[in-house]
Amino acid sequence: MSHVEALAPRPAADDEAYVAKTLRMRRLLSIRNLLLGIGFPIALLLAWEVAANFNLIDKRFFPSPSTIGASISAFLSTQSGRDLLAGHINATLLRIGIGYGIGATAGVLLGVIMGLHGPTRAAIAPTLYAIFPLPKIAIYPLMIVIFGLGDASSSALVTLGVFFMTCINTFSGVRYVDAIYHDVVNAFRFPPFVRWLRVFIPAAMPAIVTGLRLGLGQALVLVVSAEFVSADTGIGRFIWDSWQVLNVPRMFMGLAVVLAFAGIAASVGNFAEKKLIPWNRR
Amino acid sequence: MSPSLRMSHLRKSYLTKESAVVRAISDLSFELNAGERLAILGPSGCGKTSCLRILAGLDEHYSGVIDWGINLSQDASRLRSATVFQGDSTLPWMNVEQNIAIGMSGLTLDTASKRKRVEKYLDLVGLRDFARVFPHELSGGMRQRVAIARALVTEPLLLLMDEPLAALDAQTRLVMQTELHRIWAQTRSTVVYVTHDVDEALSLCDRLLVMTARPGQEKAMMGAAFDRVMEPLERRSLPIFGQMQAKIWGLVAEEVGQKLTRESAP
Repeated sequence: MSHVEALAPRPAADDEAYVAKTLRMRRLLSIRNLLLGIGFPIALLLAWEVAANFNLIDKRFFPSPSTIGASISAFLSTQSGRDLLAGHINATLLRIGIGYGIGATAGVLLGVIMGLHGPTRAAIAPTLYAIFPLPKIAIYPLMIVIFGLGDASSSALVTLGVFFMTCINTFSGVRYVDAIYHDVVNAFRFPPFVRWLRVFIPAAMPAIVTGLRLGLGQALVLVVSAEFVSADTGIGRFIWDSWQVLNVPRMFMGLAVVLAFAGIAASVGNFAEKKLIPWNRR
Repeated sequence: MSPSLRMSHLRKSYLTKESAVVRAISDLSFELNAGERLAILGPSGCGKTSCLRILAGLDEHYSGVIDWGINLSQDASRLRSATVFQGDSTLPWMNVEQNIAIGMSGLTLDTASKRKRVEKYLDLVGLRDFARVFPHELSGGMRQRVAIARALVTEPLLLLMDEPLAALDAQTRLVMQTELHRIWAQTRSTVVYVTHDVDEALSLCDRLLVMTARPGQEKAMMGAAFDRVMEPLERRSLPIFGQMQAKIWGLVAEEVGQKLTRESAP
């Protein structure tokens, strides 16, 4: 084969055509992916609807999405229904709020102190890491013994879970600050106040924020689990009660509320990340 | 000219994790005049970084005498030494101005003088228009300028450079050499410049100290044979540059060779 053939001239329009074609392809691809992402859950719901209507699945446990939707809107159209749901949501939010507030504050504080102070670290770290893997719900009976049934014990459980998440993340963030920052603060003789507040804590901030985000997820899991077991109120109680009386549509409504909570928690996490660690954008 | 820094019989050992004793520097002495730039060259592991860390105050454990010429205990407006590190050492959560100002946080200075110094060194390193910009929006070369300004703003007796251009690409490195020279020409700082790049040492320094392989000591000390205000590019254009380069590479190569033979020996 001769080289002349391979190097045959091509018109300038070829290049422009290539660019235009590639642009078009990219646009089509992103539209396709968007449609697929929306279409898949719709297809699932449709399959569910059809399966329920043709009695392929047990309608007592899996009523069709349209039936669920209809009974949810009927429930929410009455004042008493709305009040009932709002009451449960408020109870859960209060427990998360108290537990998260105390747990996150204590976790970040102890994490920083452990990063700062060798003896505290040596004393506490082994115990902390030994207890950490224990599923927190497993010590709920102890919480009930100490705090009684109700708000206090479920808040305490949330506090504990959030505390471990934030403490361990904060600690490792502070402890494993990049060596170059240690060299900078020492070589420039920064005073202790500047070292900690303006160098080490900001350097640990990405890990602290990760701890705070994971803690929020943990809080949601624990509060719902605790409400299943012991509370009279809360969204977990609402789900469990609905299941007990086989009011399946209401149970699904409860699940939707929990999903909404998780969505809000993720948005709060994203917001916190943008505000607290703006330099860490990728 | 009176020496601004006199280091005598520096000796430095350290312990490895396996508790083996390693003698990093066996006996090192040199004097440095005010406004002079000394390059320290040598094979890796020869103790040049240990020497720099001692001068930087990052390592307090050594024997020997370091005479700083001036007693700074009365003057809290300057640092004894300030360091420009090899890697990116800017603080990503602070803008350029804050990154420079924080260099002075260990000094006793009123706000107005601090402000004035920041302005001065922002101009000197050419970052005036980037004062409010954050490091992640800057190129590697510009980030290193921030680190240089942060060191200069402390008006140190001694400016320490630990391979400040090693992490940059070849083109940026050339541009930054010219920049470093221009900055020095205006500040006339006393500089210890640790590098393993012979070209860079010859382009930027007045004297060169070549160290032996570990345990490090002086192998050769020589003047750079250029007018000290001569620009890096002009230096490179002179025939003597190539001759000195070959000579110094020869000295360094001997030491690297010895190190290799020693390491391959059983």
